[in-house]
Amino acid sequence: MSDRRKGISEILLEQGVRVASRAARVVLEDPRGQEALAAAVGAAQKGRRQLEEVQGKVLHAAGLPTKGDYDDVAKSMARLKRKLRDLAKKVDEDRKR
Amino acid sequence: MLFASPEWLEAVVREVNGHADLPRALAGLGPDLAAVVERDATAFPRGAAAWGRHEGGRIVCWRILEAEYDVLELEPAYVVRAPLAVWRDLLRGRADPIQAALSGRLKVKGDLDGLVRRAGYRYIVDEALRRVTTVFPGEVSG
Repeated sequence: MSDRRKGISEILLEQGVRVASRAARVVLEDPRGQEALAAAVGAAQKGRRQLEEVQGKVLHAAGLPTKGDYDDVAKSMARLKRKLRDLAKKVDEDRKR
Repeated sequence: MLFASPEWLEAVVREVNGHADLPRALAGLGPDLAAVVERDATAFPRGAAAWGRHEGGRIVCWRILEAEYDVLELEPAYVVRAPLAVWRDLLRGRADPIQAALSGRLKVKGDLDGLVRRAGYRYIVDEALRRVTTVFPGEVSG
């Protein structure tokens, strides 16, 4: 798409991403910048985990399922699907004998 | 070799394991990682997932997973996930993994700060990939 067809917000966003990308490259090339970026990312992830913990406590108190509960269900379903797949393979092998 | 095939993965792991700097790069990282290529209706309809575990400074087990949902059961320390086009750019050296992760094009589950700290070791994977011919779906091998 040409710049003429894009909206101002799109052009600004693209330019912003380009500038941020260049800045990130400069930061990553310097070991001190790399360490600072790692620390910032670590802090952000820690903050998100803490927020999720609080959210979980609130949801549990209200008798609602949390993200962790959904993850547990997804994991159990994955295990069941894998067991079914293994079983189907065994049945196929037995039939071939 | 076809990208995300068992032969391709084995060749890449063999090259990576042969690098003298690998133990330093892996020290302190979580024990295992899964990489997921997201399904794409036209370019990559089945998707793909690979898993690997390191120990003693080298990758000791790896495999292409039969289904993406196997990742949920394995619960690896890191899960990196992206569409085929993003993987192609990363593997061809046209995109930076850290920038891709920070921009959300590459989704990372696990401690991203540990991976950012090891960004300087990217050359290990780059060198390994240069030695393994990678053919992406839709490309003609030549």
